[in-house]
Amino acid sequence: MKHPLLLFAALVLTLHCHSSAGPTTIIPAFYFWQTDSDYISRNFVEKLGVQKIFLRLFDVAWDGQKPIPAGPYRGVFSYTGIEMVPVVFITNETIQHIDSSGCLDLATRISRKSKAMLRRMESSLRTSNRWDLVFADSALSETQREDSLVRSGNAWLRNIRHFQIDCDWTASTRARYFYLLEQLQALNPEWTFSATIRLHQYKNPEKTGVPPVKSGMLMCYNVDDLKDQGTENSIFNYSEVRKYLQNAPKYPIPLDVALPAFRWGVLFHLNQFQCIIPDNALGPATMERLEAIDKTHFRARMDFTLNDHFIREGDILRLESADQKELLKTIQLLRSQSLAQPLTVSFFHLNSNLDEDAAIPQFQEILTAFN
Amino acid sequence: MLRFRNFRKYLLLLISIPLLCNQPEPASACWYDGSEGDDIRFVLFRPDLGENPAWTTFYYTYFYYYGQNSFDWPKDAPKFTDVSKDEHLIVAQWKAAINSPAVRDTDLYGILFNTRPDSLLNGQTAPEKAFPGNTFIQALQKPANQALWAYLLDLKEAEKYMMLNVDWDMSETQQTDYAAQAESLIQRLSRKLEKQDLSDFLKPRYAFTLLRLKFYNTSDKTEGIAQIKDLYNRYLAPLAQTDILQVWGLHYLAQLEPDAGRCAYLNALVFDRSDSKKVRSHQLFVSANADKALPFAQNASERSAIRTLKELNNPGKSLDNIRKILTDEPDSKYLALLVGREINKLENWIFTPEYLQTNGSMHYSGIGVDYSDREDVYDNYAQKWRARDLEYLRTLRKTLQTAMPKTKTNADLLNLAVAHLYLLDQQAAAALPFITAVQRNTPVYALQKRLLEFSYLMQTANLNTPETQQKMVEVLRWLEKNQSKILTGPRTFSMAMALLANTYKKTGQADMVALLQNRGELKTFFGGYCSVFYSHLHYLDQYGDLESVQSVINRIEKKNKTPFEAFLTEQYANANPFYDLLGTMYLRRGQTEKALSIFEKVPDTYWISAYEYAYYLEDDPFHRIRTLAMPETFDVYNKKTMAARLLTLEKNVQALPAQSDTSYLELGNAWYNFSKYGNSWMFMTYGWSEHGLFPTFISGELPDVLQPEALFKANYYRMEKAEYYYKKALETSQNAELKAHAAFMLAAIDQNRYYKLPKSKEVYVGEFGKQYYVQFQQTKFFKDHPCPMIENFMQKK
Repeated sequence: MKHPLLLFAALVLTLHCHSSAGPTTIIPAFYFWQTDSDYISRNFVEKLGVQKIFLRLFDVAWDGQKPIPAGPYRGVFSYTGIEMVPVVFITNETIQHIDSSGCLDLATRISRKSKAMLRRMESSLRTSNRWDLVFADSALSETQREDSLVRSGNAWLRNIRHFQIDCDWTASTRARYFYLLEQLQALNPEWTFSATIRLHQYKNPEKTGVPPVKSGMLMCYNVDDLKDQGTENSIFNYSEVRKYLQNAPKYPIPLDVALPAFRWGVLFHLNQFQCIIPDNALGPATMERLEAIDKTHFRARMDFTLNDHFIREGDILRLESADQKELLKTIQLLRSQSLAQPLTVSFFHLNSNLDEDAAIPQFQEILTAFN
Repeated sequence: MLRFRNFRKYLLLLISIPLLCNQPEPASACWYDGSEGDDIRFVLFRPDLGENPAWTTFYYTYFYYYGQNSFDWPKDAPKFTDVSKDEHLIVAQWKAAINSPAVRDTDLYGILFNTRPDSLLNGQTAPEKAFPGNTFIQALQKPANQALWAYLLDLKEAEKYMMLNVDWDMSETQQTDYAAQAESLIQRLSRKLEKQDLSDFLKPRYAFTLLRLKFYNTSDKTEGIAQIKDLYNRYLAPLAQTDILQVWGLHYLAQLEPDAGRCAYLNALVFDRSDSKKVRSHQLFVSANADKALPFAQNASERSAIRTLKELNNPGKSLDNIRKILTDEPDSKYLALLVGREINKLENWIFTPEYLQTNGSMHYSGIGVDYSDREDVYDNYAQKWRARDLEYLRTLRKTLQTAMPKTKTNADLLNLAVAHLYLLDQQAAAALPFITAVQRNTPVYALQKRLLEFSYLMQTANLNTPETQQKMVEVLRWLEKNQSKILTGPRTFSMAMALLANTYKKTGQADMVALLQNRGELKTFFGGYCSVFYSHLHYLDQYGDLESVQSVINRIEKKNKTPFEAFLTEQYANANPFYDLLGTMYLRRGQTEKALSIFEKVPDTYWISAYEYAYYLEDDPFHRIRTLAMPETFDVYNKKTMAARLLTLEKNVQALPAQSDTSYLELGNAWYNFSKYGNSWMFMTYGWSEHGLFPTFISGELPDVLQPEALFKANYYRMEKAEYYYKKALETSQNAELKAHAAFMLAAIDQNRYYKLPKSKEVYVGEFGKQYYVQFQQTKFFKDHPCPMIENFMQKK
């Protein structure tokens, strides 16, 4: 596709739709949650008309004494045709440990580190070989190309207008977390801050409060207790999601929607949770050592070591992913909620393990279902 | 997890749950799943037979496997900076370069590795004043050492620019200044390096300093990597392989290597050649890339390092790579580490449940542990795992035996390993030749050999003869004195005691098992979960009987003890806790008079200070149900006075059954309070729990082993005696207030039982609840104890 932006426009128009609340424009998006890869499939971008990538910059964790940045993104985000929304994940434990002056300090640190990382990314972008694949016109002279790169690079950084904070805050941390959000916004007027909203926060705004941001991202995944062997599917379960969405009060700020697009295995030994087995370790070599109990549960047929974990014969692996039919049912529920217009629908998360041939039609079906 | 110090808090919370009128949620058991640390893992084969302290982090232990931060580390574990040979080699190089024998190693080490850059740089104008008496600083001030002094200042200057997270800790202006200063320093050091006048000592040092500085400060990845590689190739690669500067240079090079196989290979080289970078290179080594790394290896030793690193990440079976190393490099230094880990795995999987009656800390098999609260999906697998692991043990042993003729330096390691594996497999005769063949007599080898001799003795001698016991005491006292303290958890002495206790267990001598376990502090390993006091009674309480408890008392009180008896009982100044247990056992059997006679042997001061009696036993159980907000009485009870009062009341009701309504009520109250719902449950048991004795959760055993179980259970869980006496009070009394009290308590018992039934969610009011509502509405007791649930239920009816 020579002009992917034309396709975006076509898709956006296609997805321009009418819900009970009025016309809705769907903005397809992805979360990008890896630390060192800059993999973005052109197929996803072009066929789904992806317009936004929510890129996790780093986590903020509590090291026992102070907040620290953890797992920073080390790749180079080199796709300037897509709006990039930086995301910082903050553990609730961090918020539990800081007071209001700590919030102010943390807001300063998050702003500082984010800007430094983005500047570095921009700098790398200017010199990256990949740059000319995306932007540079081969007809340009070397000097013209350099100028073009600098101009486009600067535009790339300036084009970041939106910043998201992800935190599973609770009633006990809401005051400090909200204060942190206010400080972040005050320190960074050039960005509009949004916050992720988990289902329990959506259902109980009177308890957990509403973050002081312009918009939220309703996260419709990780709905159940991962570590409980009795859990059917911790990533996504329609009956669980329904409990939160049905009869929920109107949420006071506009909400975009995040849906799951990932898979993992959850390992149990003697009925106790052991670990998460990532998708990339669940290939044929692993699966042939397991026997199916039912659609989602597998039993180890032998002792073996996988990803530095010792698996015993008889151990149970629960394979989890979101069921397409359940997702579509959930969308019907979501359509009755008061969502943002235009509505960003973001899939979590973009990675090289996604089977493009299978995933793209499913994502298209989901995006269309918001119609 | 429920620690004992929190236990009291939870307990108070639990017993304050309203007795009646609140529909109780079925309480879930605080089941203790799994274990923490190496405290409860059976490990008899020393992991430190490699005799290299830098390997400590790679032993098969909970602490190091899961230890992600300092909080998880045993307090007396060695700090790796203290044991690294790398720094000592650098110190030796400096000492040779400075050519001044008067320079102390500690001064050199302190300035090079334990002095912050600012301290040295701020003190450079008057260094001897800033570091008074430091022989290294003094030597550097001599004109001949001017270049060395200049380098040291450059080194410390460079150390200022080796920070991660500058963008987190510094303002933007500071960051800009930092980057500019770092770049300026890089330029300055590069110019110095290019000068031809640097000595052979300083040239690689400047190169390494520059390389490291670039590693932390390069903004352009591609260009930075090229420059770092160039520095390494020009200045560090020509050094000897053993030169630590080269190895440290490789460490940074490995982190920049884009090829996964070569990256793993370089990390393996660093792991192999450096001590201080061992942990980091292990972290950076991706075991999935081990096979890709092997083709880069230049020799068998490098292949062994790669295979070892892979297996250090393997909590499962590593025989395949052990076999390859035995074939490829039978004298590999890593065999001690890998063979030790493999034997420790087997000890954990197979023998931790058997010898310590617990799961073990890592990847346990669960054999011998009761999972009766669970679905039985694992029942068959547990047996399979054990059989397979035993088979694996034998295969490992055969593999090591086969390799024996090929090795010289590992001969004694393999002798110890093969003998140990035979003994674990109960083949003492086969083990003997390998034990006697061990020649090496270093402390840890001597310790391991002594352990093997001890195991052999246990499997071949009659343990009850004075001669054998004398030999055992000698070995045990020696072990206790000489055991290595490298690891806090798997204490060799305690493990030997566990082994011996298990041998006695097979003969059914519960008294000996208890004394051995207590002397070996095996139960106090559970210190975080139950009290030291109860840990001494735990085994007898679960598995003992009246005779075995009496036998322990006799052994403690015996005048002329054998050395073995003295060894076992020397920690006890008296037998009071065992009298306490014995009396309690009689109580559970309903033999109150006998129990009282036992409790009378214990001084009154015992009940004030022992266990948690001051908190849980002093309340009056006869006149007060705490949850009914009945007033406290002035009476302070202990087991002796409680048993005495119980006996008096029992005699009263036997003598004048028709005129004993108040005695019946007191007995009803008492037995209610002795149940798990009451306030004096500690009269009958040492720990409150939904399932029985609290510590039984810890070992994963339900209290079905409690002897005799039926009577205790009938009262503790089902309140049968309380019910009996309340009914008698209701039948015999003419006093409406007393009858109302009895009816109310009967309703409570009824309801407590009902809510233990599966799926008993709805509001329930039984026969006695109805009777209470219908017959006693006019009583003061009824008015003082309104029950909305009963009232709502009856009114709806």
